[in-house]
Amino acid sequence: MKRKLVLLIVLSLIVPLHVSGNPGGVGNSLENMQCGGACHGDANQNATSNLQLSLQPSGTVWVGQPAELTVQISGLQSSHDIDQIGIFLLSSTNANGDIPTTDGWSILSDGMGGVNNYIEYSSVDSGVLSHSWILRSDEIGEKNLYVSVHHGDNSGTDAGSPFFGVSQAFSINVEPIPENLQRIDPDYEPPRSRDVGESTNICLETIAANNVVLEWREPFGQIYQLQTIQNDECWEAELPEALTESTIEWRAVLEGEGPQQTTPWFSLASVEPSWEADETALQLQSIAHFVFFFGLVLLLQSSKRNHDEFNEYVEESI
Amino acid sequence: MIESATFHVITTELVVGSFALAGLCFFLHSVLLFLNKDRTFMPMMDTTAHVALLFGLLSLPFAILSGIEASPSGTHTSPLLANKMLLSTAGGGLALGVLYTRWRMDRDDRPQHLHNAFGSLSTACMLLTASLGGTYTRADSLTEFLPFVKENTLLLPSWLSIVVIALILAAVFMRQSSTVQHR
Repeated sequence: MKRKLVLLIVLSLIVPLHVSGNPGGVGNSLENMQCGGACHGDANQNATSNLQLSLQPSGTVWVGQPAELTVQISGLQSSHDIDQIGIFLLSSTNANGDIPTTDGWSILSDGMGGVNNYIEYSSVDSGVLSHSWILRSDEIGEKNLYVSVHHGDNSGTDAGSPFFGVSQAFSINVEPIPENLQRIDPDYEPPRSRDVGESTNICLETIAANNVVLEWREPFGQIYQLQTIQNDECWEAELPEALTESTIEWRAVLEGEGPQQTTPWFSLASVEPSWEADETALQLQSIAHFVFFFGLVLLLQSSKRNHDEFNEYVEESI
Repeated sequence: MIESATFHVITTELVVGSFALAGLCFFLHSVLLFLNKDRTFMPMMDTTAHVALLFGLLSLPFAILSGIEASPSGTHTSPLLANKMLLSTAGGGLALGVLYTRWRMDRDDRPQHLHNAFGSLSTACMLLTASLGGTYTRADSLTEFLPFVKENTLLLPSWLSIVVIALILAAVFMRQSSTVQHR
């Protein structure tokens, strides 16, 4: 018997398990490059991605001002057969401490309603994928950014393996902003998400601006303009509510002494109100579960024992 | 300073490993009991199961507390996290009950099938809890065929939970005093 048991344990340990990466993805989050290399458990399992990666700022990157950085990934259909893909925006390739926020950047928008440096696309329809982040640098000077991807592949020699790829360094020059140029307050944080059915009041704090016009659109759709009202602190306007889960984009056009300034498109995601339970009720129910199952074991086992003792007593009496 | 998420992983692995060993031993004990042979092997299974269960139970509060701390918005904001909390406390209650009844057994008594079934059930609760953790962090687990555990939670109002606690405690105390009187 002992030998059989040892044999069973040894067999169960040597049976090869089916190992795959994270087929459901890990979700949008703040991740170091190390996750792309080893989120699958073992970096040695990785195959090299053949996707071409590029990064381009949409214009001059001023210090303290939001800047749109567009990542372009090509070769999606020709190089790999991909269902979903994860994209990293990194400030180094050290594998740790390389989230752009550690290098003087603030992530104002990841284009998906969050402020993450890692985002996932659950489906890929075309050969080229473009995605934009909005970042703000607090320091003047040259900074490096990297793009990295991880994905699977449904066909080819390495089908089923996790693929990982990282770009060359893209140099971004952060310039000092001219003194009287109209601009957004460097501390302004744009709203990123809201509940479906709720309109959004934008209160945009500016410096040296004489007039502000807000524009909004559905992604790449028709542009609508909203006039703002200036109060003591900011320029106010209200973005319309969304009827279903969707994303709209908005930007501000600033007028002042300098040439007209237009901010990048900020994404504003509308989501269904999140599920929420009464915290106290949940904690009480947890205690109730603990007590209930503890009591159940005690009551059922002791009743069985009493029943057995009673039967023994009856048998002895007979 | 160690992050609560990291600490949660460590304590969870202790809990899952201990409970899995306990569950396996409870199951083997029942099998041996059913076959009614190898009496020398059974005490080993019995002892291992209960020691592993005790170790898992001692690690459980740390796993639960670090899990609550690691959750960015609290366990009450996701049905999956709420189910994790309820399943782990249910498994903890079963484990404590099993250990308590084993401790109260006479020297010559040996656990029977019902006792082993409760021990195995507590293991099942813990493994399902761990599996839900996999779904939460990796969006993938071995229990993908149980979608209702991830999307729905049966929540009781606070007063009902208090009534359940009071009723069970009263029943346990009455049973204990009744046993003493009959003896």
